[in-house]
Amino acid sequence: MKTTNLLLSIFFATGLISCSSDDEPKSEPESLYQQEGFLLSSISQSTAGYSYYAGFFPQQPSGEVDLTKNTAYNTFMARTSYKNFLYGISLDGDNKLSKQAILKSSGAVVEVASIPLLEYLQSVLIVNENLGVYSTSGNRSLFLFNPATMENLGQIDMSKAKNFPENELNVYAHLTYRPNDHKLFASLVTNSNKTGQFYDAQDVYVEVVDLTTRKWEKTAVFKQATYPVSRGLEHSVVDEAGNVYISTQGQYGLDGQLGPNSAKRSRPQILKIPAGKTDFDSTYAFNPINAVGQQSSMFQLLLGTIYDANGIAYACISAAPYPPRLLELIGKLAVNSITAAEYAELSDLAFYSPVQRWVKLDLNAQTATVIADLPLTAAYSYPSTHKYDGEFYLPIYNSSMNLNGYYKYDPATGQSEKIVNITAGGLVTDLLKLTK
Amino acid sequence: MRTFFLLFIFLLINVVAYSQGFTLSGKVKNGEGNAMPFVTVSLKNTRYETASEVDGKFRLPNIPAGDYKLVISHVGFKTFEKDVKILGHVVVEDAVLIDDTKDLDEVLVKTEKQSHMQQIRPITISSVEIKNVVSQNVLITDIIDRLSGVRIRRSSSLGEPSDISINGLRGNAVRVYIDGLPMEFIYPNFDISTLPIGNLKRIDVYKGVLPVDVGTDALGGGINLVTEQKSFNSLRASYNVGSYNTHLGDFALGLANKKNYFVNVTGAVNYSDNSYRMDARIFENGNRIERIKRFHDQYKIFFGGITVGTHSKPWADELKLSVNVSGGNKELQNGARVSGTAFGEAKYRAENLTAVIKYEKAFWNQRALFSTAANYSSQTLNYVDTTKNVYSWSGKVIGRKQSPGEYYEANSDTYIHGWINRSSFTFKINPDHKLLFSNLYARQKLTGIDYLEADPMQDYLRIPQYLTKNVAGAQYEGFFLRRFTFSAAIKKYDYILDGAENNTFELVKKKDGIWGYNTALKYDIAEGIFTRVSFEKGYLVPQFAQFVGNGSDIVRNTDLLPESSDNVNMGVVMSRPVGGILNIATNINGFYRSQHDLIFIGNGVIRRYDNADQVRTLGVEGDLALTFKDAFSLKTNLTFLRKTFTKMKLAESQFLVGTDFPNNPNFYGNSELSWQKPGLLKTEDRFRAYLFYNYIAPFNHITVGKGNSIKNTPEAYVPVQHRLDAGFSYKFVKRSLTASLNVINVFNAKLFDNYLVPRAGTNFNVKLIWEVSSF
Repeated sequence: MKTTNLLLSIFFATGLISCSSDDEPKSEPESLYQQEGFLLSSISQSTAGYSYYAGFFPQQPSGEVDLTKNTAYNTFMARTSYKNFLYGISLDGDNKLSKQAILKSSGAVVEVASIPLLEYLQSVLIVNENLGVYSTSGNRSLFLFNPATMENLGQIDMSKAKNFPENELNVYAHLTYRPNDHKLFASLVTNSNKTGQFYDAQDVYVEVVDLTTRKWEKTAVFKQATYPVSRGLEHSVVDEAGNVYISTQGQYGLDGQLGPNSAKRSRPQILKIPAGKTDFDSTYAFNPINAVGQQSSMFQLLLGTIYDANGIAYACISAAPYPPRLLELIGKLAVNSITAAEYAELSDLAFYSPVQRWVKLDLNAQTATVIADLPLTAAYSYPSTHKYDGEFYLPIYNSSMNLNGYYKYDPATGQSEKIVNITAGGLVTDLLKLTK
Repeated sequence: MRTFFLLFIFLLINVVAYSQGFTLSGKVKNGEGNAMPFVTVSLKNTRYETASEVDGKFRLPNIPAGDYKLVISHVGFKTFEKDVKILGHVVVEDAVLIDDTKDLDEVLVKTEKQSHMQQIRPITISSVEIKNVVSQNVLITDIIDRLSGVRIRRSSSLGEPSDISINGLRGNAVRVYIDGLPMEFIYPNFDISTLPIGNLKRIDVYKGVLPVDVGTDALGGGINLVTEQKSFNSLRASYNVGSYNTHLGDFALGLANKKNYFVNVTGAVNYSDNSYRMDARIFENGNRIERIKRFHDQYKIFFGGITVGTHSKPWADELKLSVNVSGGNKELQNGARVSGTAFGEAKYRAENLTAVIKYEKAFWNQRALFSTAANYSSQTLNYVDTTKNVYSWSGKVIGRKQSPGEYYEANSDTYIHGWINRSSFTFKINPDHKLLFSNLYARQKLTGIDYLEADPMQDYLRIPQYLTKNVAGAQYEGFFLRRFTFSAAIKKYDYILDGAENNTFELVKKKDGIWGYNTALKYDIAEGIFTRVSFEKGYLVPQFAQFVGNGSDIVRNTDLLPESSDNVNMGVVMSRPVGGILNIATNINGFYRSQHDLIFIGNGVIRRYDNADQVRTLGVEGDLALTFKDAFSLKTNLTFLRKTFTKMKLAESQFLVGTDFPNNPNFYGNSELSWQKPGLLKTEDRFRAYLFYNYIAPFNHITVGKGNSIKNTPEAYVPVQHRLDAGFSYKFVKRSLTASLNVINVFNAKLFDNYLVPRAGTNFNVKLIWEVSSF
């Protein structure tokens, strides 16, 4: 009896205390996650496989950094970020669209919520606080979701969109959002396992989706361009007027088209969908590598394109002679006499050779200018670029110069400065800034 | 399960009444009249065999009446032989072993090697007699996993492949042999855990130097499964039933006549649903973690074999021919790691035919021994993984994928034909010195059909490819100053690859030869105490698939170099009775491994095996066995090792130098407390109960930096694991029956394999073993 009375007393006392607190102003519950700061990440490969590292820094990281003092992950690959949340592949490598944040208590990246997927996550684009778009490796799979609640908002019906049923892969590898008319431009990548190329079509196809009606609208086609990817974070390149720019890669020479006489579609081009339009401007095809005088280059790349303002963008392009062995192997590839081992060697040379340079692009004038104070970099690996507070954060990997980190470029002064270099943790992959 | 338990109890009650046979007992002494423990005592050409106790006493129970030859042997002593007539209980009082430096005779006179004899050789070996542990264990890997310095990485699914680690070396670096012949040539796609336990006599685990008559191109560790062919009438059958609808049955029938001809017929069937419970994400419930039952992990396999032969002929000490057939199916439930969705349709089927002929003959008054064994095997592996369905861990189909294949898309047959010959010649120069020569020739042919490739001309699998290996070795063993045993060996590894290029299908040839060597020294400090040290420069010739790829996602690399390792072992062994009732046996061994040109498969744009990093392992292992009054026994072993990267290929991976190699437990141990009681229900019967505890400290399952730990990076580590097993066995000697009940993971602890794949919770098995002989 005594026990019952005691419990009742405690119950009522608790109730009174609870009631009295109603009159006091409520304080916002403190978030478990970091609101501001930077996250620097890397990937390491060894005999034992891959590991991923990501380190949180309250301020912009600087100097020499050892990421292994932070946490290691099975997988860490953010596709995009919004405020203080990251969106990308899950930390355990599962097929999920994973929303991640950084724990205040430990600085570790943790999954906050996720949307399970049947297939591999391809790309993610955050339109606003409550609307996001993602694509998967499923056939023309395009979905809407709420980035705040991670609620799946349904799949866009793309059944009328361009499809190559004979190719195993038909995916949207690059998503561009045009805020002017709330339209989405989804670039199709189609690939057959039977060929050595990464893109198995002769033209570029971009699907136009109206995000107001959430319906597919049409397919924009550009003849004689191929492989609409820029690698890296695949930023939307849309100017203030609403002109959409799509970077296309060409065929890396894998179609046997090498050197200055190769077909136009086999080399990189930037294409344009004019403001207010949903079709390509068939007269606009800008090759920035040719624009810096590398027309005779055997092998051209256009990587990590990112927009600034007033028609100015930045990208990393082929800007130095490739190693003779790489060209020899491309030559073998062109005549279809390359062995599998040589093909692997070619891939390694393409991945790790510091033969690219960051350039400033004038998309209106169709000119390109080398940013002279940035060193050569191996940009084919992870060209993850960012624009924070009007300045550009550009990755540089050059093993012979012991460079493996980020430089900051100020468009106002045209000057670059080295800000951080990773000494332990593997190859630099990204530098994300969290904001409130 | 309850039905089986009741059946078990029924059998317990029912079998207590029989009584027949007699006991042969005695005491073994040395020339000074001191008792000799751990001496092997057997009746020649029968299954009756034991070892003397701490006080030198031995006892062979339940022997049918008849004439026998008693054989008592021990390293360093002349073998004692005596004719005995068993008509009643017999006591042998005059078993005196005369001191002699006859270590080497042990091989030449063809008495059976025993686990104890193996363990006192200069090279480091752990050896287990199967009959001592068979009632407690279901799989071969269960037995090996309990040895110091050895870890077996397996999921809890029967039929799943095992990754064996011996003192830090693992994967292909550790070779498995069946009677000295490499298992990868006999059963190319079978795992050691799938082989029936019933036909084995002994398992020898070599932790470093491999003798030339066993080893091939292992890097510094090997497991030799020693089979048993009975040359007397015997019948052994066992049946094991366990959780998850697991049934394992095997039998071995041996028939022999007085003219020394024998026939052995063996068979085994294993089946399991592997339907153990584990935590997994349920896709359709928003990836919520739920407790599920594995639903696509069924495994079944059968083995059958017949051996005919003869022994003790003027022209052959032994000649036998064996033919074995086996086949099985396995469903796949997940890949190397557990992901968010399950596999629901991928499966494979394997069939194998093996024929072995073996001949042995000693001559020149037993000073020389020649043995040769030849093996042919033919194996078909059918792998089917073509579904586009995606399965939730609940078992439901939750959608369809764009591209087929749950693990990797294939519908193929692979045919592997293997030919092996090992010939060995041992010559005793004098009682203290001997030479051993051994040559192993192995050739493998690989071909197949890819049913997904419509054009046969484009089918890479149809191109016949060959890998030939020859490992020749010469070894010297000598005994000096009555305390030192020294051995040294040299090996030549030759290999020829006739393969085909993945892209162009052009035929390619690679040929190379390398020299390796090893040496070992043992010093007898006092009776029962010795120390030993050994060194080996070992090589591992790449396997077929590593050279030529798999015809699909893994491409060839014929530039691959053999992996090599420098291995040093150093240890001390002590075995001593204390006060007549307590015996202490201990073994402490330190080891060092330096591996070069590690073969690994990268995950880049192109997948191929490559030589890359260098790894070093430094560790110590030890075991301690305490036996009290022949009733209580406590066996404990601990292993501590650090396996770290020492050189990295990629510039940006240099930071990993000095960090822990992943998926490699670095501190682990076992402890087993057992109590045995003879005559619990009947005088001759034996009861044994045990508690077995296994501890594994946390270890990283991905590469981590020097600053990482389980505290700041728990996701990168497999957490600490504590497992307790318990069980008992009862041997109804007069009924020739042993029954046992084992409970695995009593406290339902969360256990994982080396890749964080969950293992089963509490599970049970009941085993019955029936064995009769000399009928």
